[in-house]
Amino acid sequence: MSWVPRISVSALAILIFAQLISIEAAYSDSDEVLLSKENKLKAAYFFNFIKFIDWPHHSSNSPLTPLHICLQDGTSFENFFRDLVEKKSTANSEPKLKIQRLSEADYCDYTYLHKTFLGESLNMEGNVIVLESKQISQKGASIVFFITDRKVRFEIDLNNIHKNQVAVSSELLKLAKIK
Amino acid sequence: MLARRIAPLGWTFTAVSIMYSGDSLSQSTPSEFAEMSLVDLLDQSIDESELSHRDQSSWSFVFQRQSAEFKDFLDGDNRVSEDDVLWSGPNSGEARTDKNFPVVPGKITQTAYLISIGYAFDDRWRGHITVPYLEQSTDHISIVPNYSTFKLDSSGVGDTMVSASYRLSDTNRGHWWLTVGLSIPTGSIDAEGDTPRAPGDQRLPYTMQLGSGTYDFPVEISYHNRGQHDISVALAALIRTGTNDNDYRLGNSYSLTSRYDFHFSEILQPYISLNIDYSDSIHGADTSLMTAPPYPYPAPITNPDLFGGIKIGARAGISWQVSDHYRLAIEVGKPIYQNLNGPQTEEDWRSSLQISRSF
Repeated sequence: MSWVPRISVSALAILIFAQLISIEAAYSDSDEVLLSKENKLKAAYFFNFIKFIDWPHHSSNSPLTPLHICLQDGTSFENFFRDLVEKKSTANSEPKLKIQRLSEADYCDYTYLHKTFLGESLNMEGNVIVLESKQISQKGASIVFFITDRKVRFEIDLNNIHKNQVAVSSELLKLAKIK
Repeated sequence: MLARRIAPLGWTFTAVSIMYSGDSLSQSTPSEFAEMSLVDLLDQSIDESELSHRDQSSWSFVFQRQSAEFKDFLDGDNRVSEDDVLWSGPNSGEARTDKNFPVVPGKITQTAYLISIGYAFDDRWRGHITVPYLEQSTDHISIVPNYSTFKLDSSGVGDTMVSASYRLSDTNRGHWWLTVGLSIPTGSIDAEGDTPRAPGDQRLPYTMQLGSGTYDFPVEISYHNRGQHDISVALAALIRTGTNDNDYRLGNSYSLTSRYDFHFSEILQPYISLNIDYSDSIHGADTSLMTAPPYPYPAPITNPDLFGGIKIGARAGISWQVSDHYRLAIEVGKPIYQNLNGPQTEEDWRSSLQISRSF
């Protein structure tokens, strides 16, 4: 067999594969596809942490006040996190979650940053800032993810937690590295 | 010829059709992550292949195209010229020896299309069945009239491999797997072509056959490190048994492979690998390939002693996580040292294209 049919067969295989992938992508959320497992795990952690943190503006006296979650704009993480919350949320879940883009937010209770935020509008008080990794530098960050033995772990900065006047449950602290 | 050209296409369609079947459209990843507790999350590795999807299929599919090209000659690790290997004939004054031949292969091209279907019985046990479709082509030069240059081709299904893998251990540091299998002789050892031995078609030499003709046992033990550096090492052997219907047995082969994956990107992972391969020469002989003594081998590829040797090769590739389930990998390799039972055609390069749907 000459090289021409060989190349044609291979090229055809790649084309068919690419077509199938595009069909599958149409059925699935393309952001799921693009987001790594590491970041999906961080999104799940970020969601789970809510149960273990008490915000001053969300006491039992005002359970229906939505928790303002701020995410950086247009990222795969944002879309995946929205899907994750949508799948998990039930009608009676508390607190109510309001997911908003950081650039459009007036106020944040809970913020996830995958890069340093350079804007001026980020409120610090009562805002639990979670950083994607230690490579990001952000004043006032309370929780930082890091990788050990190819698993996602997190560090909690108790000083910033106290400054932000939020309370973290002892259950979460037991699982965290304390700074 | 047309059938030969269509066959790989059919395999390709089959492979991608199988890959596309099943639950490839059932994406529920956010749900799975949403259901995880903190304890579940702490147990999860960031390795893409180790997510235990509740709704995920236990089936996996791999389609792989492997190519290799061989040319020039080595005797041990010394380069030997084609002129030295080609005997010039009785009138040339050149002495006939065990190291020169009236027929000499020039370039050997081998392409294998492999389809592998796997099933994860549980977290520890996996089974695989792999069926190859092979295409082989060898250019020759010879001193035989009307055969000064000629080309031999063979193609068809190779030997089918059935294997079971067992996870020996799985810790934070890494995991060990043991794989044991059976190679079933579904590949032909009677492929024929028009050689200079006689008019018409005769049985082709060992390298041009599609199977071993024997029941063989592949064994592999592998380790994948989970530390900061993504390193995997595998020690493998292919143990051949008995003697086939043409009175020979291919040599056992052994390999040690190490691989380092770079995690520069979430989607694209380049890797490099180093492999050491050793294979025995052929035991026994297919007498139909032989001519009258005292020099019964018309070509080096008809002499069972001129097979096997040591090869050390370097490979580099890139793995692209196309979607949650699909991965595309491209690899190229080049030997950096070869010590062959020669004169034997040396490997020049090899490449691989793999499309896989993981567990």
